[in-house]
Amino acid sequence: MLERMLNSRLAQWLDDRTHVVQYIRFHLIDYPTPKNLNYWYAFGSIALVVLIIQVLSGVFLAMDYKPSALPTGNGFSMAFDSIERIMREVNDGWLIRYMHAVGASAFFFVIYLHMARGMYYGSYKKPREFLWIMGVLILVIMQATVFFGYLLPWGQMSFWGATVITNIFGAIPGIGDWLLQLVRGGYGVGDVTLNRFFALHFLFPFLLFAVVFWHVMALHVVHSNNPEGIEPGEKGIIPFHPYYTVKDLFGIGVFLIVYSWFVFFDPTGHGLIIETNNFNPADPLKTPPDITPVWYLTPWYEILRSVPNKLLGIVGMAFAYVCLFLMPWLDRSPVRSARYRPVYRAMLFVFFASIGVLGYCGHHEVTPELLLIGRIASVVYFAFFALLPFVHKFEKTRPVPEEI
Amino acid sequence: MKRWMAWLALLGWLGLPGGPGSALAEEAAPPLKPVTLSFDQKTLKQGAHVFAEVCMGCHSLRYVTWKHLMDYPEIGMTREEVDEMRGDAPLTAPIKTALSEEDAKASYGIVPPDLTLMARAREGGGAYIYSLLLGFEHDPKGKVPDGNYNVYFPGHRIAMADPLGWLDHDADEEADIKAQARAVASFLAFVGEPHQLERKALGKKVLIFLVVLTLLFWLLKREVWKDVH
Amino acid sequence: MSDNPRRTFLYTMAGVMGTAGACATAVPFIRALEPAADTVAAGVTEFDVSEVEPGMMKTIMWRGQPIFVLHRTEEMLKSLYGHDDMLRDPLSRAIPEVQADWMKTREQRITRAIKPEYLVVSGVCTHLGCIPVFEPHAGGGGDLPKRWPGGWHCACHGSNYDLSGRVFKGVPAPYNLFIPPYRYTSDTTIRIG
Repeated sequence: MLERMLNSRLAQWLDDRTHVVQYIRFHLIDYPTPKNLNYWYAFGSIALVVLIIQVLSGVFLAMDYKPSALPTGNGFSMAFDSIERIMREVNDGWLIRYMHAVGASAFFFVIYLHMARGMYYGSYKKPREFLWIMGVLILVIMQATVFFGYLLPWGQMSFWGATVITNIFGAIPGIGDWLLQLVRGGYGVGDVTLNRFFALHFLFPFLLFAVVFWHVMALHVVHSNNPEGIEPGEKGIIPFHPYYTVKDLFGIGVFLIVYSWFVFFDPTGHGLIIETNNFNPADPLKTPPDITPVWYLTPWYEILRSVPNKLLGIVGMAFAYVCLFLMPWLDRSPVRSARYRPVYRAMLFVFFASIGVLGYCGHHEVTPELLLIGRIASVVYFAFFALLPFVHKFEKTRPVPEEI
Repeated sequence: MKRWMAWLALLGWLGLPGGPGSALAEEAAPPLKPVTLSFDQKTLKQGAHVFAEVCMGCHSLRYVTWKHLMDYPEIGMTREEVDEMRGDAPLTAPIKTALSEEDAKASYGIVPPDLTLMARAREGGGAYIYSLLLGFEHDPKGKVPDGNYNVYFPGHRIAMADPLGWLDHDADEEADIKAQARAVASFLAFVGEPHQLERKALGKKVLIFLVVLTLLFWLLKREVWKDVH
Repeated sequence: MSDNPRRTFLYTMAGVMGTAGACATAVPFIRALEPAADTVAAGVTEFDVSEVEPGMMKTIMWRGQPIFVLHRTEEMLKSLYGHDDMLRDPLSRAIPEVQADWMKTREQRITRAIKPEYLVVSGVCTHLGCIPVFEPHAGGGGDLPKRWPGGWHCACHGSNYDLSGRVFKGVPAPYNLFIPPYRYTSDTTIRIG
């Protein structure tokens, strides 16, 4: 049926004028793919599905959301009221909001696994450096987008999260105070901040789409890496359609089951997806006892928090991102896949564990023990990148196969 | 030498105290009382009545109108029942206390919080509300006056004075007070998210559909990939 | 595709189910565009018609539009007869919006009210949506026709209606004033919507 559609007169007419059929054939059908990609490679397609869910549900939420901190009595605000109106009065509004809230967490979950896969099979290495950089940029834009978005319900966590994170800008020497007011549009987080965060939350997905487009374009020039980390050769190549369309569809199906389970049966994720305290309206006079970002931001937040100096904490957090960007040049081993790199593989697992520990610590109130554990995890995080340029000198790699 | 100093600096940093943020040492609350909430019409109606007769003296439900008590099928009140409860209040107006914010501040020092989302905004949800209502005790230190000492409230001192008369209740009242607390906790847990039963019901259908669809995708994938290996 | 019947079957099934799923997903989004529950709840207005003094008219709001409630005196009710020749649709038959289920008799088609003394009509001119001005007193003059029985005059484009909201001939408005859906929930309380 697909062939018949692509050969139809309408398709031909369009193709003569836009080359659209050629693009489809080149990028979605004939696109050469290594035949040994496992299910870890489905997360790219899944991420695209989540992005579409987020944009669609987000636009519908924006139709009923009011970005105003105007008080409406007993501590409530117009923004908070409008969200509850979506949850209660708008037909199926609760579903659309939960899709969006769970979608945010799902997006990070998928992206983190997608990145972990890239790190494990060495997909960041030459010639895929640019692909990797665009990927890290996607993560940064996503984190900015979700940060803007989390302010919108104007609950306690929204308000205090935004207050704490925007304060980061204030620590930059010289321009800090100016920058802080520039971000907030006032002397504190307020109505103006809410308005502009809403505008930016709407804008950033466009940037995201642009960078995702470039990410995919870069992929389609250098093509997919594979679990063996070697060039697939003529015999190792199969067309994207139908092999990976159906394989990705299955992956998307499994993802949708997990995603829907959360949307319908645990939409707040026991406080991990929508924090319990965010059902309290924002109160600028009362700081909640433990302000922690949502789980997907906590590893970076913990790096920030584990440094007892405000400015150095920010430098540390920024450096954590810089390390990710630099990864293609830090790693100098000629072998790509961790399958054949025992030392790198062990380091990688320790690195993943450190992120998990950082995330755990960042999500909990500071205690002396957690502070120490968080600091050790921060050291491990940076030690991974610090060791990376030297691993190839002593690592005895296992023999790489000739073909896949 | 330099390397040695770097290690020392690192160790020193690990031992540095953190910034502020350590929690104030508060007296810990005991674990919440176990309770099974139920969203059947009988319990929810009873909860609505307890709310209107007791809680509404001070608290409002800003997102719940009188009409909602009829419109939400889980509560399913009749027009007559609602008319009796609402008095002169318009049908489409939110359920609101007659206590003004000024009077509340004068009497209690604070404005009583709105209760629509209380079950969502507290750890433990309905169980917290249930426990709080049954958490009034005599202050062992004798500082907090009777009726304002509550073991489940952070800091133990609560402005709300024992609304159901739990403190020093008679043995034969116990079952009734517990039933009232359970009913109103169920009611508040329900109105906190009025579409929750609809959500779960729809969720079952969606999941069944997705499992079948995914199974189909898996069969298709297996079929198509026969060519490759 | 392929000659393998099993494969063709699986493709077809996956395609059909996938499409069905996508369509089902569209349903909540479309529903979200429909008026929300609070909007619908606000679409019902209750009003005590005894508030209106005899001979007086009150304008109330229903779904963001004005509704005229006119308490007609005996005299006003009498004024509805004798000018059928000047009316476009004296028995309110033109379109469903100018009629109601309860209009059973010829009498009701003229008085256009459940209780004849209380006329409840939409206050929106059927021409282009202006709000006509109440001109209850008989006798023409100015913009009004010479044999004016009392009624409403729309200043926008000069349409005229009598005290039953029936439109005159020779004016731009095509229909009588619409009858909103309403019923009496008690002796004097009407429920619109």
